[in-house]
Amino acid sequence: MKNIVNKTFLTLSIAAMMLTSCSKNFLVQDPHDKLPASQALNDVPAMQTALNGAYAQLRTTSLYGRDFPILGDLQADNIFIEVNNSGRYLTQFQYQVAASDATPDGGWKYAYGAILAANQIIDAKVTGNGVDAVKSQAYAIRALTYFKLVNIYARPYTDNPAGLGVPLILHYDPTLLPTRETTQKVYDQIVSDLKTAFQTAPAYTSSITLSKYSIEALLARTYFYMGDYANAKTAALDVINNSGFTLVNSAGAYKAFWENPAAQSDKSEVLFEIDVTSTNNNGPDDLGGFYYQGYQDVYASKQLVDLYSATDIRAAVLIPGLTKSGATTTLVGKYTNGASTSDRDNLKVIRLAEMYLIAAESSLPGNEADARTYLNDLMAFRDPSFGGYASTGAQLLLDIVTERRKELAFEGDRLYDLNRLKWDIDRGTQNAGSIPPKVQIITYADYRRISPIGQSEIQANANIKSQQNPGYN
Amino acid sequence: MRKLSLLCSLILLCGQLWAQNRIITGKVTDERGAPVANATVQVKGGNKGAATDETGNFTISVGPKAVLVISSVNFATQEIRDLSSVPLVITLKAGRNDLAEVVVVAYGTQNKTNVTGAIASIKGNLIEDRPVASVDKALQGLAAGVQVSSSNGIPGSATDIRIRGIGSLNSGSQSPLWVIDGNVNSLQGDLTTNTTTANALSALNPDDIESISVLKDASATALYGSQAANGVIIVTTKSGKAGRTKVNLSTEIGKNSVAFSNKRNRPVNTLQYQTLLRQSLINAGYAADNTEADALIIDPTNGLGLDPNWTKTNTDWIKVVTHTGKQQQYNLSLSGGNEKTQYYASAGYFNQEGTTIATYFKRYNGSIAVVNKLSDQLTFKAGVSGSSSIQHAPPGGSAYSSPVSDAFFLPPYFSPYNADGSLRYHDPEGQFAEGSNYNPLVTAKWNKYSDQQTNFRGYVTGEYQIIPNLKFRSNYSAEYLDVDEYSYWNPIYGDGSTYGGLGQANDRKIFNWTWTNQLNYRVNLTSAKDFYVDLLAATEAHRQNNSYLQASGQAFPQTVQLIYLANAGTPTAAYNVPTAMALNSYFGNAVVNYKDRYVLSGSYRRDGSSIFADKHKWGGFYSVGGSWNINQEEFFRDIPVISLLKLRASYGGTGNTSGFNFYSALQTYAYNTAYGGAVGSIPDNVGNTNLSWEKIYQTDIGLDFGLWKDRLNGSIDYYNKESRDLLINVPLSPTAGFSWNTNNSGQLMNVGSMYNRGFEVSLTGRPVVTKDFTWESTFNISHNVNKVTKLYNKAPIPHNTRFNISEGHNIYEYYTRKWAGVDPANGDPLWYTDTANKATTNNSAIVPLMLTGKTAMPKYFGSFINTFTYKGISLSAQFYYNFGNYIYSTWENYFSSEGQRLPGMGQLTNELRAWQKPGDHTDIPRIVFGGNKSSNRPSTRYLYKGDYIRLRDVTLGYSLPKAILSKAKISNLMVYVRGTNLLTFATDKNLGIDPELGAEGIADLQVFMPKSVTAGIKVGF
Repeated sequence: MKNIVNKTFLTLSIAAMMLTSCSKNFLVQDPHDKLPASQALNDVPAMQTALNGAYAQLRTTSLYGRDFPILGDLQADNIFIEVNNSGRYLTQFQYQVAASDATPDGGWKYAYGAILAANQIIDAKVTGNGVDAVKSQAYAIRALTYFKLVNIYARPYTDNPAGLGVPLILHYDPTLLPTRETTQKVYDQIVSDLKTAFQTAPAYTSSITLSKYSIEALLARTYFYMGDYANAKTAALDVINNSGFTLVNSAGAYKAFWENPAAQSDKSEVLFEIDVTSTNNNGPDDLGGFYYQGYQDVYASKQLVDLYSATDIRAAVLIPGLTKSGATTTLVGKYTNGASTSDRDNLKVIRLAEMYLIAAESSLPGNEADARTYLNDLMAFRDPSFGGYASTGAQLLLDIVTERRKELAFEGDRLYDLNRLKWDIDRGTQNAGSIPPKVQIITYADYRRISPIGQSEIQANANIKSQQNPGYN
Repeated sequence: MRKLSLLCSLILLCGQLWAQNRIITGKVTDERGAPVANATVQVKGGNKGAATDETGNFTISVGPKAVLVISSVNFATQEIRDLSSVPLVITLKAGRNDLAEVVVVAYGTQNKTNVTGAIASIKGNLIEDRPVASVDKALQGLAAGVQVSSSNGIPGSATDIRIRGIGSLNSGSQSPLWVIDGNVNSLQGDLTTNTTTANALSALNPDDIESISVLKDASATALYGSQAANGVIIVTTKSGKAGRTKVNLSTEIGKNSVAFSNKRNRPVNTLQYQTLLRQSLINAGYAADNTEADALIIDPTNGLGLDPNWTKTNTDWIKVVTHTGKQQQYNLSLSGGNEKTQYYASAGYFNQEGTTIATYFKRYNGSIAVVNKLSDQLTFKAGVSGSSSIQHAPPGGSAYSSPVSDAFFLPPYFSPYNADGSLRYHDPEGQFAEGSNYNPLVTAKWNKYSDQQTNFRGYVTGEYQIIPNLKFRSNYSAEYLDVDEYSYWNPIYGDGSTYGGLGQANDRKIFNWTWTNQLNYRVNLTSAKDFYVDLLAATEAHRQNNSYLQASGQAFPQTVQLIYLANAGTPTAAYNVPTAMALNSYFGNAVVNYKDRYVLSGSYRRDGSSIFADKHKWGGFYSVGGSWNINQEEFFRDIPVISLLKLRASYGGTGNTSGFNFYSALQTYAYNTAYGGAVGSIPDNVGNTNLSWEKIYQTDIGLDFGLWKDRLNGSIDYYNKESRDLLINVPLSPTAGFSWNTNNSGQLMNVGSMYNRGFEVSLTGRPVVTKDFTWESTFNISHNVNKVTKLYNKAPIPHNTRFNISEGHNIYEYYTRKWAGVDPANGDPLWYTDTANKATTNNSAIVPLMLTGKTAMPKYFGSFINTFTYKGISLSAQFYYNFGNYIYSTWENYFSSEGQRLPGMGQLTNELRAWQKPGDHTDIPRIVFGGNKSSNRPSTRYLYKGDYIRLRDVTLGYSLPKAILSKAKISNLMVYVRGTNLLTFATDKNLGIDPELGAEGIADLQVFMPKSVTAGIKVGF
């Protein structure tokens, strides 16, 4: 009996020694929530999924989610930060940005993330129905991202096209340590990408995807920033005349437009916006959380608010109120669904109204009549009881730029507009309840008008280190 | 494999060679005739053993011609050859003998003589009854070379354990390997998703631990191969002892309060705040004098708009968020059995409230362990334990609903209460507005941040003595941990109000098992059995399966009673994914002992891991070691002063995989985003098919000694740990498109090198030993020098904002702006712009970040323990000390801001020292509304010396005399009072935060560390 027991255990022991050292598959484990890159772009649905990822990247707080729209207004003269604040964007407002700050780094990193996502789609060797439409949008996303990059990190095209732009990355190569291309080359690429995108662009289905006329509108803006007014005007007019988009002309409709958080398909006002929903958002860090609910750190400047006439329908989104610490001020009502439990404010990228302003300004200086026509066409919608502008010369340009400021306020346009025009920033009197702005006037020549390139690029890439923007280290 | 089959044939050949055994009983006493309990009785040359019971009696079965070896701590070992007159009466002579001590080592136990490595053994009684939830916290100061730091005072929080410095560049990869009852890679650390800090080890009741072995050098750890590089902590839980059933009951109650504070650096009161605010407005040119400033402060149109009566409220927010927490624990254990079967069973309850509101930890646990000797050849052991714990841990850091954050961020002129005494929120005057710090009393009351851990642990071991010197052992050890977190932000006030209430549930289930099969064989090379080789051959499989489920929802009913997702109006997220890793290993080990004088050991392990790509799955690890027991030499026998002198040396190479993402090697697209209601994918990891283990090559030289009949004994070790092929997330140019992903911002590569060199000394002396009074004193000190020797392309690695890991420097050398003080002429902040600290500027935007020469790593740490015993009274005090490091006060730039954060945010008393007039020499710049030239940009200004000495433990106990107890049939009864962290001495007079922090020295507004006073009773029947 004992013998049997012992032999059994002996056999079991030997079997155990062998068992623990078996099966090859034991050591093969793959993730269940990701795919190897080689399997991620192998058919049209996969390409569409990757395109969704690229759009979603634009939604992050470092890009359109918050930094892009905020910085364009805050570093100029449209908004201010109140004394009781969450500590965000103080150095931007006070013009004390250092290369080691998080914001310059974040924008750069996330933007190139979107560019990588687009590059991979553009380079994917997939054929079939729908590929062209997907690739068209990827080209447009790449162009849009480069446009923001070159405007934030480089002196304007109108300053010196041969100046340093940003590195142009068009294909996957993670080992690359690129140098900055000239602003000219970056703009050439943007124009080329938008033209490519335009050719195979999908028809308009809703405001949250790029389509034929939103792509052309981006092209108009690009030409406009390059000072190529002829092409800018042609593209802008094509959008105005042929896209079928319309503008609203009552305060109620204007307010309703901005308060609507849902994607649109009515061809009203917005050509392209980035989708933000109740589940896909930046939580308390959404744009609306910074303007209206939650942090509520920024308010419209008095200088801006005073520009709107009493009959201007756009004043419908200027809400009189108090800062959190009690000073009398004006709240911004363009993003009122910031911390909503249901849908949240979509992020406007390009709107029809801008096309009128581009067409108007592009007509100068040669064709003042055209300029007044397009400007007053817009004003007929925005301030129906206003008789229209009759100004000429420098005053006409100023009127167009002022209308542009009023139209695109809180959408991140103003700083880059003033850069393009090479105008100084003059914030005027300090706003009640504002933290002290360290500077009230920032001349065009000031090195701080553009952002430093962030710390992580400088550290990882010696080629860029020597190309840091002047004044920063 | 060939070796294995050879062994197997041996087994088969020898299978029939058994002989008749007989039972022997006996009694072991000391020289005065008192029984010696727990003495080890072993058959020489075999693996059979028994222990004496409380009355010194033992029973053991022996074969013919057997020799018994009787050993016990504090007694000289004896060999008994004459076993004829049963029961045996054995008298042990005083004196400690190294040969007697049995040490738990990798995959078994060894007589201390055979140990060639550096191992610290800690007996279970040293960690019993401490007012801490997990064993790791109790380890602090008990073993040289082992740095244990808690970073948070939340009960049940995690600790950082670092053995012999920092072995890896990744903070997630620096923890030692835990092996609990044979389960390699036992769960440890914080495995939660949302919880501020939790600790998987808190599932284990420290009172159930029999012993802990800390394996430090290659010789000791190499058998754990690819996981051993950061050292190994082996925990053995209690099992039963033969004899009458013993019942032990202990209860303890106590309280916890804040251990450290400093008047020089704490939040200001309202009048002080007013002084700062007036100064700031006057200095900024907004007001000419206090009267104008006061008017401006309350002016809603052109001024700050504060309540006109703002100076009439004065709240001490630290007082509001802290309290005296209660503490209690109860432990019951039963142990007993006969020679064939022994059992141990226990049950425990632990409940601790933290120093800060809304923090607590509760645990219920039970265990049972059984050993059964089926026959002389066959032994089975099995144990199972289970625990259920719940922890409540509010957010930390700068979170608006972190009570500690609120204590600093909220200004003193806010009040948590309305005039009628109710809690204040939605205040019409704008206090505690949304999007800033909340009233902590409301969020503590209405929000929930719970973590419920359910743990089962079990093992089954079979030991089969095939022939007298050959043993087969199979051990299957497994644990299951369920980490069930739920957080609820109420819909009425706080973080949750903009969501209409937010609930998030995270559930992680981990099943973790190890199956080890091993053969141990002793080959005697002489008939005297004093020259032998111990051989070990083994195979092992290990697997960890994780399953993760997360769900969240918002739009809750406007009440604080319906708090679970069942009542969320809008479900917002659902997520689940399983992950897994597997390890397969073969290993062996040989120890050669010649007359106990010379011992040589060698081991080899081959590991295959699922974490790496095909070509790099397998790797080999090894060690060699030797020791010379000099006092066993003939020529040494005549030197009575020296009772022990042993020289040890070892070298070996081990690996590290802890903290690795299971799938780092793969280039992947993540599918965790969505657009327009459809899923999106994005490149998230660049991958690296060449990934492999981190490797550590360690040399250790040690000397163990005992003097004057062991009145003084100790160990000295020198080590040199060279880490190579360290994983670095090599920064790619952000233009590559991966840098935005904080988890995989670069490419993981095996490219770094680093060393840790240091020494450890431990001394134990018994200066006074009389019949009634003894004084025992233990001292240990550890010193470690860390240097990063190689990085990819010499490129520094930014780490946790405050560090920039650089070649030729300590891994945790702070990297920030160098503060040059305050310009006496105008009160401007100054920073150095050069490495030589000569050139200064007041323009912070152009100040480069630089290495500062100050590190977060202590140069020396250790403890000093004194125990005095007089008859039944014992007094023990442990001081823990830590020197040479710096700590960074992360959020202090908000509270010492020179006006930048005024008003609305609390400030520190530091600010009252601000510059006032030309010629003032002070360390705080001039206060200017809106800030003084960004004087509060992070810099060495917020770096403090981390030196401290802390009275970690002081215990006064009294054991009632046995004569009295025996009448009540009680075998022992002890009462005690214990103080934990009662005193703290910090050398930096300006330090405002508790100097006890995590390994990286960053203070992040964590819950205040506790000092505890507890009292307890222990009774044994």
